[in-house]
Amino acid sequence: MNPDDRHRPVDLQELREAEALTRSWDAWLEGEPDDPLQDADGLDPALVNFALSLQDRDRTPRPNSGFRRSLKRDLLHAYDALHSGVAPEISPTRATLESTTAPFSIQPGRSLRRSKKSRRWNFLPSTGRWWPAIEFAAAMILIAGLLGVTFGNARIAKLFRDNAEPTMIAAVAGQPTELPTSTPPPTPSPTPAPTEIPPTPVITVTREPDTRSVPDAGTTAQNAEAGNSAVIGGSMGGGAATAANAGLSGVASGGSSTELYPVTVSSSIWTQSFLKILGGSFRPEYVAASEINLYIVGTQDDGTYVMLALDAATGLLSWMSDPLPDALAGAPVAAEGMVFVVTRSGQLMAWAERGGPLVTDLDIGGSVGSPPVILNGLAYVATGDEASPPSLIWNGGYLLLSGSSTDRLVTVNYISNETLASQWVQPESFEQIENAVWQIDPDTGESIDFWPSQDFEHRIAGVVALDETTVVLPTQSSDYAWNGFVVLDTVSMTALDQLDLSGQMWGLPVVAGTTIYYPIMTPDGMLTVASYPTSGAGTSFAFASQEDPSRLVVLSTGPDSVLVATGPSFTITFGNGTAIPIGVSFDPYESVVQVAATKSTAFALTDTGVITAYDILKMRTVAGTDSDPLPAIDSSDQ
Amino acid sequence: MHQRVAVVDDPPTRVGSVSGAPSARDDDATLVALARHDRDAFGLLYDRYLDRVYRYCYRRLGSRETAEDAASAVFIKVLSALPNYQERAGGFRSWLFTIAHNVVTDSYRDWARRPTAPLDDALELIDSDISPEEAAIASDDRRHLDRLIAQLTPDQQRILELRLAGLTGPEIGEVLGRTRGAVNLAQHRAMKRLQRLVSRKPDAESKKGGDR
Repeated sequence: MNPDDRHRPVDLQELREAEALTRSWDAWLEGEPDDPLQDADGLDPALVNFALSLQDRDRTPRPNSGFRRSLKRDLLHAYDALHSGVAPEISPTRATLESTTAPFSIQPGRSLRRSKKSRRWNFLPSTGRWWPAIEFAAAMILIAGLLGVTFGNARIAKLFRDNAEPTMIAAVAGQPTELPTSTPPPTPSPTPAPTEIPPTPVITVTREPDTRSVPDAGTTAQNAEAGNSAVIGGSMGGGAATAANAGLSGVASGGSSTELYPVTVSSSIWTQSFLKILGGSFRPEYVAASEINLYIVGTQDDGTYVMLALDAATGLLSWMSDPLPDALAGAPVAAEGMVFVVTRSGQLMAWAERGGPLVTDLDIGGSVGSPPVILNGLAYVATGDEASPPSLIWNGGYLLLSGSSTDRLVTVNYISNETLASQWVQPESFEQIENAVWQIDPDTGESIDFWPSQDFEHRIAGVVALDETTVVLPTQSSDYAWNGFVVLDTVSMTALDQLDLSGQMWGLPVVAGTTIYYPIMTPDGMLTVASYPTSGAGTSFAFASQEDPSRLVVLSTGPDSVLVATGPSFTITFGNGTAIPIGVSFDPYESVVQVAATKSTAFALTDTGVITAYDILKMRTVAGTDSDPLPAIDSSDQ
Repeated sequence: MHQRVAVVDDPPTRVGSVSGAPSARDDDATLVALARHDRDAFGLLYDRYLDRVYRYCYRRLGSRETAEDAASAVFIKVLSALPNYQERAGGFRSWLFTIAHNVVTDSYRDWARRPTAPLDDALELIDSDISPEEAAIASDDRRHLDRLIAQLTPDQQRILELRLAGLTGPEIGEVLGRTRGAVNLAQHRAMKRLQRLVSRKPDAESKKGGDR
C-alpha cells in the first residue's frame, strides 16, 4: 500500500477527475466517441491517453492454440452430454494427454471422480512393515492413559497429568472456532488502572459480576423485536434504512480483580468461513442478525444470489436458500419468527427462521427500493419507478414512505401468500407530487399526511428513524456535490432541522440516541457525526479508509452504541464519546466489509470470507474501564 | 437441430461495437440466450471470451499452467450455471468475470497451501505462436508493466486487471462488490501513480525496487 495514497485526503476535484477518467475510458471501450478526450472535461489529457495506452502496452500472453482447441472440444462435448440428458460429472482433473497444458478431460456419461485416497495405515499391520506396529502401540498406550484418567487409576493417570491447570476463558460458546479456547494463565496486574489500548489489543479488564440492565427494546424501527439492525455497505440505494435502537443501555461495573488478556479472545465467540461452509468463495452483500440466526445474502461462484442462515450461537450453517431470482432491495428482515427479503424486481420471499422452509414467495409487481415492513402477519412493501424506487419504514405507529405520489403500497398476507391490497400513495386525481414523505395508516393503506419537500431544493434519498416521532431524511443535491439531512417531526410533519455538507454520500445515515452518523466523504474526512439538534454543524471523523470508502460500515446496536468497521480495523463506538478498538487482528489485506448485531452479539465479515461473532457485552465491560476517547463532538463548522 | 447464429468477434481491446451498431451488451444478451440451447452459440461465447478470461487469470496468477487451470474452471462453471443465468445490471461480462474473480481467489488459497515454482518463460517460448525474438520482447514489456502494477495497492491492482480485461467501471464495481465511486477513485489514483512510475528512469526504479 502506498502510504501517500492511504493518508491523502480526498477532495472534490479529485472525485470529479476520477469520474471523468472512468467516463472517458468506458466510452473508449464501448467504441464511442472516437475522440476519448472529448468526454474528459477538465481532466489532464495526458492521463487519459496514458490510461488508454495501457491496453496497447499489455503484453500478457494469449492462450496457445492447443489449449484453446482442446478446452473448446471438451466443453462442447460436455455441452452435448448435458443437453442429451446424460449429465457428465465435470471434475477439474488435468488430462495427461496432448500436452502439459491440456485442460480437463470431460467425457459424457463417465464419472471422473477421483479415486479415494488410500488410508495412511491399516488398523493392524498385515505386511512386513514394522512402523505401523509402533504407531499402534503408542495409540494403545495413549488410550490406556485416558482410561486411567477417566476411571481413576491414579498410577496411570499421574503419568499423563500436568501440574499446571489451564485457565479457561469464561463461557465462550463456540463451535467452529479457530481461536484458542483457553488462554495462558492470567497475569495479575498491580493496579486496576486502565491501560492504553492501541496499538496492541491487550488491555486491562475488570472482571466483576455484570450489573448492566438490558431493558426491553423501546424501538421504533423494524427488526426491533429481534434486535436486528440495518447494515450500511458501500453503495447507495441499498435501502436498508431501518435503525435498530434495539435497547442496549446501562453502565458497566467497576471491579476488584484485574486480569490481562487480549480483548480479541475475550470477546470473540466463534469464527467461520465461507470456504468451510460452501467449499468456495462467496461475496456477501447484505447481512442481518436475529437471536436465532445470522443471515448473509450474497453471490456464489457462479454469480447466483443465495441466503445463508448461520446459527447465531455456533456459526454452523443452519440452512441455505435456493438461488434468489434477483439482487435484494435491502437487508433481510427477521420478524415474527420468519426472515423476509424482497428483491429489487419485487419478489417477496419469507422463510421460517428455524429450519428454513420457504413460506412466502410472491411477485409484488414493480421495483422496490427498501426492505419490507412486517407487522402482525402482514408485510408492507413500497413499489415504484425503477429509476428511484421508494423507501418505507415503520415509525410512531405509521408507515412512512419517501417517494412520489405515483408509488404504491402493497399489503401482503405472508401466511396465506396473497396480496391484500395495492394502492397508490395518493389518489390519481391529486396533482402528482414528487419527492415527498408520506405518512400512511397501515390499517387502511391511505395517506394521512405528507411533507411536501418540493419546496426543498434537494432530493430526498431515503428515510431513517431517529426516535418514535422523528425521522432523518438524507438529502442530495442534483449535482451530488451537496449532501446532508433533514430532521422531520412526524407528528406535525414539519422539518425541525437540517444540515448540508459538501461531499459525496456513501450510504444512509445511522442513528444512535441523538447522534447521527453519516458516511459522507468530505475533504476533511469520511464519517460525519452530528448531534441533534445539529446547530447547523457537523463534525467530520476520518474513520474510514481513504483508499476505499465503500469499506466503511456503521451499525447501530442500541440507543447509545454504534459499531464502526472500516478497513483493517474494527471499532465499537458509544454515544457518550468513547471509542474502543476491540483489537481484531486481520491480515494486511483483510478488511471488515460488513457488520451486523443483535442486542448482545456483533458479527463482522471480512473481505477474505471470514465471519466472526463478538460478545458486545464483554466489549461493553471493557468500555466501562478502558476507553480511547474520540475527538470531541463540537459545534464548529467544517 | 442447432440454430446457427452469426456473431462477429470483437476486437481484443475495445469490447464494444461501433456507434450505431447494437451494443456489445445487447449482443452478449442475445448470444447468451441462444447458448442455453445451441452449442454453436456457446462455442461463439467461448471464442469471444476465452482470451480475456485467460489473460485476466494469467495476470492474477502469473503462470501459464495456473491460468489454463483457472480459465478451464471458469468456463466449466459457466457451462453448468448458464441455464440459471439471469440478466443482471452489469450484463454477462460482469457475471463471467465475477466467476473468474472467484476462481482466481480460490486459486490463491490453493497456492498458499502448495507453493510451486512456475516454468512460465520456458513454456511461453515453446508454446507461443510468435517467434522467440518477439516473445522475448513481449516478455520484457510485460515484466516491466507487471513490476509497475505490482507497486499499486491490491485494490488498485484488481481494478486495473479487470480494466485490462476490457471491463467498464460499473462492471468492475459489480465484480468486486464496490461502489462506482470507490472504483473511480482507486482507478484514478492507480493511473496517476503508474504515470509517475513510468515517467521515472528505469534504472532509478529498479534501484529503488518500488516504494510501497
